[in-house]
Amino acid sequence: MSKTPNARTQLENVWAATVEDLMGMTESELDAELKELGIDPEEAAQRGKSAVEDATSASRALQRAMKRQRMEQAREVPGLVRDPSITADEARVQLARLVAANDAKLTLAARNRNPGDMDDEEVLALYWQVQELSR
Amino acid sequence: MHWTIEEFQAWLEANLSTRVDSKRWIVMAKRLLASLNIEPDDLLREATFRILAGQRVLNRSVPIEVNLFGVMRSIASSWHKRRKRKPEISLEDLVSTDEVDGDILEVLLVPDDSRAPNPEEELAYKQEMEALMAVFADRPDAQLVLMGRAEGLKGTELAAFAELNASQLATVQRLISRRLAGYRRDE
Repeated sequence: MSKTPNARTQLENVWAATVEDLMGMTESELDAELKELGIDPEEAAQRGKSAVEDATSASRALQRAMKRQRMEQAREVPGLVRDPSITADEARVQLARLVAANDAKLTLAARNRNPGDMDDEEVLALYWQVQELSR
Repeated sequence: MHWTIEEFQAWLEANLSTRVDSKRWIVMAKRLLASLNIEPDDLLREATFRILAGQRVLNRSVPIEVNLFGVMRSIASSWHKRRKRKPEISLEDLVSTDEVDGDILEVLLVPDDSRAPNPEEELAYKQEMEALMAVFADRPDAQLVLMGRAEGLKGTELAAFAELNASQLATVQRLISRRLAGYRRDE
């Protein structure tokens, strides 16, 4: 016999063997035990199947509810406070730096444009969009 | 290390989709519930749901089916304890009970962190093993099989160790599985 396992492994082995025994039972053995326990085998098959289906549906519903909750929480996060002291020129300078660095926060379209060619409204909109993405 | 929920889902589809598999787990649920007036499919439903919902994690050092058994056993045990403490508890409240108390003797659910057990833990494991042996005080043959199982023996090796033939071994193993499902430390 190989080395005696430690006490924890011994316990684990005993419980795992109980499951192995269950997994090794034939259908006729299962039917016999179910009858002995006062359960109709066909009803047991149906109820077992429904139990797993119910659990799967309930867990999916829970996951959906949690996802919705996370989305709602994200929506409740206050928006970025726009500092009025940022001028269009300052925004242009900072965006030009990001374009030069090919920063991933800029969309491909924005990376191919020169902030110097944008009007004030456009450059400030893009600047605050990038700030939002940086949060 | 844990089995993921996706791995458990895949296991469910492969191992709990046939009539025979359903019967198998209903048998186990009924054994675990014993005298509790709860339907066995409620226990299977709760255990499956709690795993899929991420409320119970699965120990990767043992197969998924062993984990499912461990979760069912742990839930049934918390239901038994609750009913014992509060016999008037409603069925609905009882079924929603899930006391996860990090019991180190829930060895199937607590991943082995590879560190050597401390002396208190070692003593607790040994005492639990002795308590399991005591369940078979009237059956020395079952005690021998249990000892062999604890050592990790299976099949012909286990039969030789317990000095039983294959058919006798199967009968004794069935007896062990049934009685152990009904074993509760607090009783």
